[in-house]
Amino acid sequence: MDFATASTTVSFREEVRSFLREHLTDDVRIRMRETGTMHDWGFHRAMAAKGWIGAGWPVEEGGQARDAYELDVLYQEMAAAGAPLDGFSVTMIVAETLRRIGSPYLRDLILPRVRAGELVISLGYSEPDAGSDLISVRTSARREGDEWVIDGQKVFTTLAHEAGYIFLLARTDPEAPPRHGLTMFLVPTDSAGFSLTPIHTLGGERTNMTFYSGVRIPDALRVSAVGQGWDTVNLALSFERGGEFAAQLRRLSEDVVAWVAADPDRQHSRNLARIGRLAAQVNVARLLGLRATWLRDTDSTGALEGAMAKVHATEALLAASGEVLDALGIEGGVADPAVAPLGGHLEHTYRHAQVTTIYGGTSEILRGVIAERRLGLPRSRPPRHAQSGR
Amino acid sequence: MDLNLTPEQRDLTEAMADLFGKRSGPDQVRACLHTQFDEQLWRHLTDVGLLSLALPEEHGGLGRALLDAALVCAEGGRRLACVPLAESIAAVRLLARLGPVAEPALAAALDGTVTVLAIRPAEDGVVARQPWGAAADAVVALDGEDLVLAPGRLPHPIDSLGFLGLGDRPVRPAEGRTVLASGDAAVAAFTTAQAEARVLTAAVLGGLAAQALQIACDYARQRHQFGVPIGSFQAVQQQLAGCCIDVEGTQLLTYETAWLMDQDAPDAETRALMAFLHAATVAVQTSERALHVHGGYGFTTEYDIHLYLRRAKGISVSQGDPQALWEQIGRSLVREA
Repeated sequence: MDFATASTTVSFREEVRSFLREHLTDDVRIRMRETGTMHDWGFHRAMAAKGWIGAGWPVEEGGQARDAYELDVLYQEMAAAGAPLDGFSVTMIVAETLRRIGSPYLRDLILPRVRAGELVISLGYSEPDAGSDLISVRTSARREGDEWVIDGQKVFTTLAHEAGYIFLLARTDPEAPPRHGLTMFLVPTDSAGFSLTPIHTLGGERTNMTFYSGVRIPDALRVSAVGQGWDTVNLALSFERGGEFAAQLRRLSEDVVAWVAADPDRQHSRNLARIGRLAAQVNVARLLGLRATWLRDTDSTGALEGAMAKVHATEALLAASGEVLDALGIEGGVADPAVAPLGGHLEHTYRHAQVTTIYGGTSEILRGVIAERRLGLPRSRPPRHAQSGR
Repeated sequence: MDLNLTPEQRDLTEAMADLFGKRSGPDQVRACLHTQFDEQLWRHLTDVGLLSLALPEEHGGLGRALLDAALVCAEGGRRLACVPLAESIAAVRLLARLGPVAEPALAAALDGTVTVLAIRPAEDGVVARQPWGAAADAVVALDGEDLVLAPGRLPHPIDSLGFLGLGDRPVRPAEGRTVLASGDAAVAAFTTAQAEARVLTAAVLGGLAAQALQIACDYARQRHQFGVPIGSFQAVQQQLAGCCIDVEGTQLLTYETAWLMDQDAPDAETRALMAFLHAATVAVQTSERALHVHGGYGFTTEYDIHLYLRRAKGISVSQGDPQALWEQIGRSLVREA
């Protein structure tokens, strides 16, 4: 066993931190807070100029061939600093998928613009009646000649108002068994019949409901083979990362230590014990994440280990962010950045933390997967007809 | 970064799993609940050179790392070994660092004289409730500003939750006490040894927790209620999956800490204490949940799981109120900030 960090990882971390000092300006932060849009075109293009969009791709594909540890560092430092990362992280999931299974046409259409920082893409998976049970999506795509006609509704289509395309999971064969009737498409957001309404959230982040009413797209924008959308969504899910949660937890810990250190009156036994426990959770979250990265960097996908890291870091973030507001006492509830401790960052972290154990796989779904695949416990899910009511 | 065990570590782990699997476990624990010390196991471990494993070669050791010793402790923890592991390995490493003054004690320890480190400093000349303190032939303890070796053996252990062979050990006996070091040197040497003992204890707890989880999963697969295995119930699965994450997390924390100490990392004492406290939290919670999964049977002494809970909680409180120790970590983090 060797826990050593490579020197390339250490130096890249410094490079990312220095980029953040230059580009994560107060203007960017204020814009994020006011709009709830966790994407900033100026910041995003600056990342592109550094070659960090697709940094893990081979040099011949316009990447920098960075390893899994460096990619982790990129996400972690951005997340810890509170940078506008949604456009980058979501678009990379789609781009990675297209690199693997997209047609030459789609790769040429999409990837250069992604790399240049000119295009972001939203995920169109969840529907009002299909969240964790994604296999039940009902948005339909019907073939007419060389075109597909799409009708339906998606929820939590974050960044759809900035995106060029929606990476859309639709039902193309309502008669087939559920997992064989799905197909993945790219739907241009300037299509006739596409519309959206904003959804505002507890964490201040804006997301969207998107509507598809007779949207016509060419067959060339189909991503997966017809009927193989379920495999594609699973491939795309394997590109979701979890390192940002451990980084948010680390940031929370650093902030609290600094807050307590600033005033001897705050250094009472309750706070000191809180700091100690939080530091242990920070280390465990870092190590579980590091293990998933190590597996990603070797031969295995590390999906199960990634799920374990995600559950731990988000549950710890949820618990710790609440504890921290307790520690602040009456100041814990103050949100006004002008007067709140640490500019309201801690209060905001508590709100934001609530969603982290939900999106990207709820803790309950992921623990169920761990119980079956890691612990070998018998399958628990009820039969499909009982779930869907069909 | 490589989280695989090296071939040598894998061989060591397998050999130790085999050894503890055959010579320790719940049956042996029940057999020695009265003495709370497994004399036969201790003799065997001495014979195979367990204590010399992580000693430098110039002291007759195998020159293996603290991390390797942690892997051994984890296997002992899995099988509830009723012998001092963390306390004795840390003691001999300390004696080896102290030079000529400690040579006789080191030689005796390697020869099978039960020698343990008192993780808590002595108070008023006594180390109270010292784990394995009844069976120990010698205790190495910090007494004020002196690091001392205090011989003696107690006739009976104090019965305890963790069946840890507790004994109240005087460190200023009328005769035979050896002062190994004094002043700053004594405190520094003790602090290092204390940290080593803590990370090794964390490893014991990590192995214990992993085994408690394994026992609970085996039971949940085999026990049927309402016509299905109880392990298929989400209420059970969620609990055990949560334990699984905690157990693997605490093992990573422990092994990284041992690895850092092998690299002479600067903040090792705080990290070692953190590893111990976290492992204690996880081991207690995991064994409580594992017992609960057994339903009423888990509460009976016929089943093994209660032994894991007893040992976990017993070790967890063996270094004092965990809350006070967490505060100690917080204080050192605030000081660094």
